[in-house]
Amino acid sequence: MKTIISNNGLKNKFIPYIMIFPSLLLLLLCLFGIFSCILQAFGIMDVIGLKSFTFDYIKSALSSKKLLNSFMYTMYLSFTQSLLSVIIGFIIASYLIKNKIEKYGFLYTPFSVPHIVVAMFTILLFAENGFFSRILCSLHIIKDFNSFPNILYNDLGIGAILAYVWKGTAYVLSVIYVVMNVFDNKYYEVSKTMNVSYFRYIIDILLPLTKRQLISSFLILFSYGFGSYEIPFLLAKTTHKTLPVYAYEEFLNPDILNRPVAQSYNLIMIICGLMIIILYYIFVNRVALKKIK
Amino acid sequence: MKKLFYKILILIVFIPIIALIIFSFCIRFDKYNILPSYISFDRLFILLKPVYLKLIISSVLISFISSIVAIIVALPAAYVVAYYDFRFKNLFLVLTLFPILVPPYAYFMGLLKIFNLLNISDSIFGVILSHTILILPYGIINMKNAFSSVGRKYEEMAITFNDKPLNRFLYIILPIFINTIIATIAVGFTISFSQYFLTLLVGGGKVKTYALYVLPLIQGNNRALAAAASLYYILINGIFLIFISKTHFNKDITTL
Repeated sequence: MKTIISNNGLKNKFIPYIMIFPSLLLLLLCLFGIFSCILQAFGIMDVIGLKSFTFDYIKSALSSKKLLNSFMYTMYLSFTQSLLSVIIGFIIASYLIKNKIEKYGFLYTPFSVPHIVVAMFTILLFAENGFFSRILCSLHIIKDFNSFPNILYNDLGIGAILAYVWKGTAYVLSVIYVVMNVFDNKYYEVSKTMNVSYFRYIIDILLPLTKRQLISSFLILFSYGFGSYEIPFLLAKTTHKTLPVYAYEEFLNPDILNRPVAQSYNLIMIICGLMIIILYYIFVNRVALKKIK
Repeated sequence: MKKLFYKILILIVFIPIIALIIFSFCIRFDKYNILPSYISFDRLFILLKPVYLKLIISSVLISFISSIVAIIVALPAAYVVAYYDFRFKNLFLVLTLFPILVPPYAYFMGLLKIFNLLNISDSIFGVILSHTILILPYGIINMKNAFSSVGRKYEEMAITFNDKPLNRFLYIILPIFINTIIATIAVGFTISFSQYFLTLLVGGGKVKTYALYVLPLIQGNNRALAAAASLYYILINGIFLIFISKTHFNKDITTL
């Protein structure tokens, strides 16, 4: 059987390469973008006559306090939001499975709402004259709008985190629910015969089994949050800018000689992205390959 | 307790949408109150002008074309990755992660140079190309998972009958995987439709999509107009997704 397939299904050993070629071309474009960004960050830009290799831009970027603050803030935002999304997503998934709830489709709604609109939701709900504030005022729980807590533009970026988590949880749920359901059908009865409490069952059995999906969705959400522009632009305090916002501001600078500065900011984002890829490969891809073998 | 958590979940998902609807036609409110003092549907109708309709149609088309192109490019790659072993397969799989895990704006700022050389920056083609690059990994990963979970048994039957590759694709692969393909197109559409920054960067402000129109409104002061525009935004997306999810073909073939 096998020989027949390999003869007829794939006459030429180059066919796989031909079939991945179009995708490869697009992916190489992306690689080229990364490469050209790195070159520009090192001060090589033929168009404007910068040809010498220099560390100056990166040095000056790394030594500026503004960038360090923005880097830490970006890290904080994306780490918190992805961790919260994964935890909440896991809790909701285990709740749905435990109670055998069939109608959960609506939970995927946030997944299809664009980030810009999610930002709009957050503004409408949590602004000082927003939805919640008005409801609390109508119920005479708070006196006026000023006594409503400042959620949107505070130092902790709670508004941005809420927006990310609302959407991110739906993503985590869509990734882990199916897998958890499959494992649950296999192991729940077994664990019941051994008199395991439901909490221990979740912690000791479901959590390790879905570890790979949890890590993968954490990394994807983290890298999304790290490189996202819209939500921090609309919801974060103007004094707390994230890296992409800074990079674009520098990019828009009319002086083209400023371009390498913007690219050195991008370089930092790219390095973080590459680290995430390595983590993803170690924790997600390699584990999957081992399982197949 | 069980029901309570479920109700809270429903509230968390739908309260924002309800608030959006309320704010889109309640223009003025009583002071410190949720009850509106002035209701007007003007803002909802403003957006029905031909200018905005054109904007909506063009951005739906851009997103639709980029997701279709992405799936066409992704299908053969996913097929090979799922069923064949070849050199550099691991490398290719790692490479597919790049567009999602490296912040897109970082590499697109570098890529603008090549777009300029190809003369496609500030054009619809450039925007579609950039959206396609962004959607492609989702296409490859989704389709690869579907291919490897269903397996090749039906195709192998056809191979034993010496069927042609094109026939195998049209009569076996396409009917079996049409649902996954449609779901992937829907995901791609959503991703592309919600892009603001990428369109601005590559399109240079000349290619106008709906996102480019909505974001300044949200930043601005006219909350009712912004709410109405956002409402349209999710409506269009929702209508497209429902339309796409209703087009089931041969739903039972996967359960064979």
